[in-house]
Amino acid sequence: MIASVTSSDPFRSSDSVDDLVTLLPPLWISGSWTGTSDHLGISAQLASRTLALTSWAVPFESPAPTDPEEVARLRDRIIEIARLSRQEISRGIGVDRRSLSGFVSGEIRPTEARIRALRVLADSAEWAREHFGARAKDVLREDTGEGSPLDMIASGQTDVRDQMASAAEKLGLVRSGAVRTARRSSDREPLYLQARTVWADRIDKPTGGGVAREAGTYEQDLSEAIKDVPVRTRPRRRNI
Amino acid sequence: MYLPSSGPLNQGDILIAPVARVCAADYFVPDRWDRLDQDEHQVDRSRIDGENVYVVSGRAVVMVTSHDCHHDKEWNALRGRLIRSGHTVEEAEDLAENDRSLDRHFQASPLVPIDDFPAAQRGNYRAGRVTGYFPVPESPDGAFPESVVDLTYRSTIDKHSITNRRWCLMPEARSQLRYAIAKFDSFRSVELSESIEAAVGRTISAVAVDNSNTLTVDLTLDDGTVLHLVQPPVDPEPSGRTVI
Repeated sequence: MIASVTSSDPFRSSDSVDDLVTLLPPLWISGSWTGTSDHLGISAQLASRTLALTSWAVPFESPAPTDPEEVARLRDRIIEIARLSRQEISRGIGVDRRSLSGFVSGEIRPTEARIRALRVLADSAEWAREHFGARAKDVLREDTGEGSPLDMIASGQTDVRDQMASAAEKLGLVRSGAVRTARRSSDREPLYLQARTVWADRIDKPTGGGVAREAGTYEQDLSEAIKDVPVRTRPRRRNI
Repeated sequence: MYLPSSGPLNQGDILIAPVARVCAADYFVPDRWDRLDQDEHQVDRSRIDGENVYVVSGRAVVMVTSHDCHHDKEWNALRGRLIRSGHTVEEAEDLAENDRSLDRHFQASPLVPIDDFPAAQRGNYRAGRVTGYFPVPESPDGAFPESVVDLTYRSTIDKHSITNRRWCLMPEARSQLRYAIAKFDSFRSVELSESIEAAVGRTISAVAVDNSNTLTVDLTLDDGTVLHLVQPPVDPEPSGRTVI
């Protein structure tokens, strides 16, 4: 099943969110998954809202076969790139730390929702690392007013880049629309430096105004340039 | 080749101005633009569409490429409206000159020293054989060396950001610049002069006109070669000040 959910596009009105709540996957509605801690953390109300704000088409399937190796790989990857603790990773996928250990050991079988949250967390950590470097961890943990990006992922949201950007802004890491400038190194001197020195004694800038011209100067009558002739597939030649 | 600059902005003016171009995230810089691309800028658009914009910029010696008619187009339009609404010519020109809303932009291409090109290619650049490059000699005052105007790099610049202006092309040279611009932007034709030189001394044996396109004429020579002639667009006046 494919759930096409609403947009987090900043240009889109939030009024449209209500229309799309009905598209929620059965994740938070019919909890038939296994495991010990699926019910932890996020309220259904928050889950519904945040799911409605995601912008990706997400495939929802029946619980996938447990793969302890994939869980371990994703967990270790998140620790490596974002320096999150196991406790924080557990929080990011909406379970407690013992459950995460159980997923890795194979003692507990995670639902597809938990696996998906772990994948989203890994992707988000990558994005945060790419954009905010060593502060990726802080960005993922920062509460933006609607919860932290970790909380958003735990609630089922699959795209938290906006929340991470807000968190980074709140942390003072970025300013929206900021321009970063770096000087390029080159062995060649810019040409204008010599000219500026030579011309320093005579500053000439164009005067204002213009040269009066007839309005027709600025108009083009293409009928004068392109003859209205029937289009032929082969050019007809006339010998002179 | 050069005259001291004066008056309003003219096509062929040589001046100092900032230039910029949009690039990719790796800030790739062709060797010939090494002197131009002095700063790299990353514009953060993470909150808009997630796709940042990358720009390189610098200050350069440039030649104005936009036509004189373009430079005062809006000034003329406003002047005409004011005259039609009852103002005298002097009043209309005064009001138009002081109107801060009129377009102030022009286009220019930077000068690249001939020595920045591989030695084996400099002859072609000097001779003006390379489409997209207009050769200019060294400045009379030594401000810049023998160069080419790199028409493949074109910046839209606000007149108010000009630092200084010193030289302008003489009318004959300005006509050559126009030809180089037209050739780069539209024609990309083979060198007409070389074809004409090869035809000198031969006899025209036949002439054919393509009726579907009266701009073209084919001349067949006595050795069987065919000269394909294209009617050029109407040239502006040498000064470029009265007719487009």
